[in-house]
Amino acid sequence: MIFRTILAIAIALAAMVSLSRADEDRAGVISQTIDEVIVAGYSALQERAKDQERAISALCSAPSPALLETARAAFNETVRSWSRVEMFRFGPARTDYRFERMFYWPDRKGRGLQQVQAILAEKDETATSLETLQQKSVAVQGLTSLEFALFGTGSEELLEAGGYRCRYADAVAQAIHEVSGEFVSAWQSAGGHAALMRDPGGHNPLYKTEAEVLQALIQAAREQLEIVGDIKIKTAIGETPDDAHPKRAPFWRSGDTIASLRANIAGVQALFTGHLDLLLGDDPASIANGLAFELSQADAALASLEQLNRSWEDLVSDPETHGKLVYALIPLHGAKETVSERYPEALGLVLGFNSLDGD
Amino acid sequence: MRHGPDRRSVILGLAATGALPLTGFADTRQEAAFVSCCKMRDGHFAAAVLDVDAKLIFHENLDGRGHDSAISPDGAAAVVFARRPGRFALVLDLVRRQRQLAFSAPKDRHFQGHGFFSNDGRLLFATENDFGGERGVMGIYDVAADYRRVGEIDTGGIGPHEALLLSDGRTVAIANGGILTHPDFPRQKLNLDTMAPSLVYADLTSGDIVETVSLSPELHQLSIRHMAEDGRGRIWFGGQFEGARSETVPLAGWHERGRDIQLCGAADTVWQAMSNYIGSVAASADGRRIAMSSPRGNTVLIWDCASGRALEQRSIRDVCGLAPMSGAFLSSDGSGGLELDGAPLRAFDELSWDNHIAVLNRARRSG
Repeated sequence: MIFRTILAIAIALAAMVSLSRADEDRAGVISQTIDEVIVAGYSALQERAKDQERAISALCSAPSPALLETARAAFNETVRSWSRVEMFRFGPARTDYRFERMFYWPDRKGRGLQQVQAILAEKDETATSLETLQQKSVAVQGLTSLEFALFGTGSEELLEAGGYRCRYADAVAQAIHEVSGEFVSAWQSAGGHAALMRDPGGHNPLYKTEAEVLQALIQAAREQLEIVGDIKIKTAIGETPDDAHPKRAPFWRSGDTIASLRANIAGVQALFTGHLDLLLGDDPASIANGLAFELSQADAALASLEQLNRSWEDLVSDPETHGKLVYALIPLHGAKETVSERYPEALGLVLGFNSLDGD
Repeated sequence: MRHGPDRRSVILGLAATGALPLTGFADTRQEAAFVSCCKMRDGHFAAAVLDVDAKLIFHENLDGRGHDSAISPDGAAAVVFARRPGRFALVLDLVRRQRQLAFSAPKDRHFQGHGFFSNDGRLLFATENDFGGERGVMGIYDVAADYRRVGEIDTGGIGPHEALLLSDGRTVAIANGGILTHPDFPRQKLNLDTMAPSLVYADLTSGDIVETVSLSPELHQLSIRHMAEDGRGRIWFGGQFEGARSETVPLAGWHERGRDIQLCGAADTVWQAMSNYIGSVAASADGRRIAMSSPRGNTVLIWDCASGRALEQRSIRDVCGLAPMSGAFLSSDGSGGLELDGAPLRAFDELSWDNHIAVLNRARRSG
């Protein structure tokens, strides 16, 4: 009897030890994920935004076709960096309209675009300095505005010395650089969002447990996969090429649609591979491999289209390439199911039916 | 469906909360009292009808995820609405315990998930999104003509959600959540920067808007979505805050006709427990208390209408549906549980209860 009691205590103690070990691992993995995926991702964006600001400023000081190409290439890079972290729509993204200031999309009825066009038509000088631009609509100071300035109708005006369009693009590039810096500091400053996620507990206004932190991250991935598949791709390509609306997808003007979708997928992959996947232990069901396979299938389909070097509108309207986009939706859907069901189950998270997607 | 795993704990739970075991309703047993949508374990969606003891009477499969239901004044029919941006509505015959007919919102409208019958039972009103026109409407359906759509009323705002027929029988209170959505971008919120929610009163006989109230500008991102009328005719609302989660704002308030909106006063810790999100609002049968649920915060909050103070805070995982039941509040959760004043009442292991519980008058009265 005594022996059984001692045994029971020993088992209980062992269980406690392994539990605290697991908790420590969770905390470590969460912390590392925040540093290596989120903060590093926004820091890279800040760097690209800085390069972009310089490139546009150089273009405006001495306009030339070569410098326009450099500026456009810097934009392409900024879009890729942004698309890697677009998925983190909570916390710092929801403060001061940062998300909308950076990426005003979807632009239903082209309202944001109309405001940008009005600014360019009126040559509104208050849109050419950072301070006064930031007081304007969120729709005229981010990536979609800069895309129109650099690639949209009339972008040849960028080659005019001292031209208005370049000065507007310059102010928008500064605004993008500034918001990307705000993202970095809102995440990593003392008391910032990273600190909140690293220190869950009763005292924490947002995260009571590590499970809640993991839920927030997994939810962000789930939502991003849904947006990539159901909103960005499906809404643009329709059921058939005849039924398609390619211009509903973001970044078709700059030719960055597929690159941005691939970066969205890569962002999700980075959150799991080498990071949250570490929490799955020996992963006998191979959830991690399953997700990696689905994401790589989707990415491969998109990569094969990107290699064709054809415009997004062209890819959507050609039945053969349209079919490939339809195909990409299948693994994206599978990946979303894995993230929304298998990961929470394996990690012991209860993603409540009502709390997951409310109304 | 299997009932609670432990009936004893159910009874003990009832005793502990002071609610009497449900006896003396033999005449009303197996008559419909509550209607709620749910998701079955195998992934399909359904609407379930429960009796006054919250036992399952029957359920019907739905074409997609449902939301709330409207109950006819005679208690003979329930209309289950699709969750936005769905377009289906299913009429349940609560007497014959089966589906009666299905109808749809027109092509250029979708349901927002809530609605009600006129007091004479002849018309059904449903909150809808006119997504092309970017405005909210209430569709009007002729019950006798197999729910043919006969007209609509402008709600005076974007994104109407819950609408309540008030006790005067002719005024409707409409929560315009303020969030612009379009079925091309399913469930994406398209105007968080400029959203302007409002609480609107419309006269059903004329279709005119008779009063509009809104929140102060700093709360323009508090989407007013769910409501209940208290015993004094005041409208209590619960909102969902679309700003940063790190901000703590009052999520609820009440409004008395002709006055300004009053925000509920509570400690920051109370609002933090609600996680910027109130999913459902219900009044007690006597109209003296209001319950509000937060599935994200796993909390039900009970307000005292007379003092405007928070009386009680209950912790229930993934709780959302609320309804008055025998002088108490029935709640439902995403694990299939039903609770009475926070104590476990029944467990339906094979389903998740969806956001709302519609209640028939007989269940309201049975307190």
